[in-house]
Amino acid sequence: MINETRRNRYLVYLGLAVVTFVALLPYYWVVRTSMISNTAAAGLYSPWVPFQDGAFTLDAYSSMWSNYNFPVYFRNSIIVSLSSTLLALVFAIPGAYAFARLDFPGRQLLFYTTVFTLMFPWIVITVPVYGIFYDLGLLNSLVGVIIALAIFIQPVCIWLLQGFFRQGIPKNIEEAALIDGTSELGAFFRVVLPLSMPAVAATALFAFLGAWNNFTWVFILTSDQQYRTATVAIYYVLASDVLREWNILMAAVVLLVLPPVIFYGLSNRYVGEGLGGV
Amino acid sequence: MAQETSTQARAERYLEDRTLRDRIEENWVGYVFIVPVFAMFTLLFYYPIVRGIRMTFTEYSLGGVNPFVGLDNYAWLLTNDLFFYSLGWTLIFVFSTTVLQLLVGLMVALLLNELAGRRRQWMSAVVMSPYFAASIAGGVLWYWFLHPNFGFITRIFVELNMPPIYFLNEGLWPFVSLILAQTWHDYAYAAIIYTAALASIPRAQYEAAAIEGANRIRRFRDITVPHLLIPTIIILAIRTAYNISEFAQPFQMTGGGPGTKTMLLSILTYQVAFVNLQFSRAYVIGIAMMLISMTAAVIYVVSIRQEEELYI
Repeated sequence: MINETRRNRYLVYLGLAVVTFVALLPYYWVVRTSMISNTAAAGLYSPWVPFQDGAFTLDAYSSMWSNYNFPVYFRNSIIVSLSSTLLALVFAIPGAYAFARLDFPGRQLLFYTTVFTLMFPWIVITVPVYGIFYDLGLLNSLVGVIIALAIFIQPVCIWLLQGFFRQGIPKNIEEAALIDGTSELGAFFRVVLPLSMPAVAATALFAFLGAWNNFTWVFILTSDQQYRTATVAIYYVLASDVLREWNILMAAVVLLVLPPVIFYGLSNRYVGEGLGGV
Repeated sequence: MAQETSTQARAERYLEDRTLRDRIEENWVGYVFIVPVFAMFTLLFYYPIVRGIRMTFTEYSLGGVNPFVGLDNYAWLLTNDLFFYSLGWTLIFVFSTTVLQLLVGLMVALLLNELAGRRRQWMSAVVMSPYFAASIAGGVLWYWFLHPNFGFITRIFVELNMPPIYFLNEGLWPFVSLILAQTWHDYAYAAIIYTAALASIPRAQYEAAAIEGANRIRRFRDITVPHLLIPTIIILAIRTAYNISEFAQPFQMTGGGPGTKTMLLSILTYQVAFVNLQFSRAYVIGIAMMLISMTAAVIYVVSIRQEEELYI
């Protein structure tokens, strides 16, 4: 930048190196553990790096699929995240558009209640929702989890999309369509929506990650193993009193964390800054 | 100029003349678009909140009759030592994590701001990665990192012939560990918002100040700091609310233990509801949590209102 000195440059790199080190060190210990045998991981002098003393093995990753139910858990994670993302988007796209572009009595009030849902302590609402789902017979089912997660990620979807509709789409494009005789609905579906596909995709990504990472809802609403998602399964593996296979547990954590981190790494150029306000 | 003002005045008068019905008729599309969202929020947000409040005046059990007990649940809360202990620790936890996340996030954003192009994208992907990991994964990560037998720090201590520290049990360590782990997981939120805010400051302002002879520190104080004011309020409000509701990571790390030493309100709500099956009492604790996050939400809404009004 301005008045730049070499010393300042070095300080910046030093600072970034420290931050990177702190950000990645806990990950490192997990990745290392996933690549060695359980006896090596649970030893007093366990190796610092996986390749030390010939400890390296990828057994954890293969036995994770054969000895545990992880295929089911990860499959559930994918089903639940995809469906709740779709459901949330179907509701959030028109809603966000209305907040951003249309004016109607009560708009501001609704908008601020949406902001409030963004900041709500969700653990509180699980208590009455548990009762409601009990009455409706939705406890312990994937459908119940999907509905709950869709509601949970919907505020974020509305928030991201309304920001985009507000700033990303020039108002005169719609006006041109309206003058041409298209109805407001037509203008939305034929003009605005196709133009918004990149923003919708980015929002879908965040919604998917929100659902994928969610623990609380699945943990509370399900009790059977067959409906567990990966997050909850990992919790139960660690909570069980049987001999822990640390390397398998850590391999599961790696697979849980990898997709969101990679997605963000690939897309942060497009969406990182759109997160402002979530 | 004069004509412009009168046109504006006429437009304003026109707006006032319209009745509510006119506005509804003009904007029916808006309602069509908003009704599905509102229906969904009603089903799983507004209705549960109200139902929960009604529940607190009864002794609620699943599918059973729920006898009316008046204010008993509130009286229970106000005479419960664990609740007040937990409230105090939650306030300490929320305050320290929010402040630390803000400071670390600001530092990261300022550092990233010095980079450009691809290098910056890669760097931010790496540095922001903790935020995108599931919080339950964050819990396992730190549980393992601090494990008294096989953790990373213990491994260093073994090398140095030192006894292990029980980070999640001993003395003040569990509090420190939970706060630092939470800071690690969420500082990137502040960093993302600050990075966006820094990027939006016009470079010309810095250049003009540099020509005037302002040094780095003065430029930071007079140009950067004012631009970061609103983002700071937003981060404080949102992080306060999120840190109150944080459940998975502390739950995985200590579960409120040892005993009830690190019991956060979120974990207490869970335990009272789903372990003790006292739903009404759990919701009363929840109301206390809601009040704290609602305060944060009000601050947030007031501070974004400025921006919001630009668009209306």
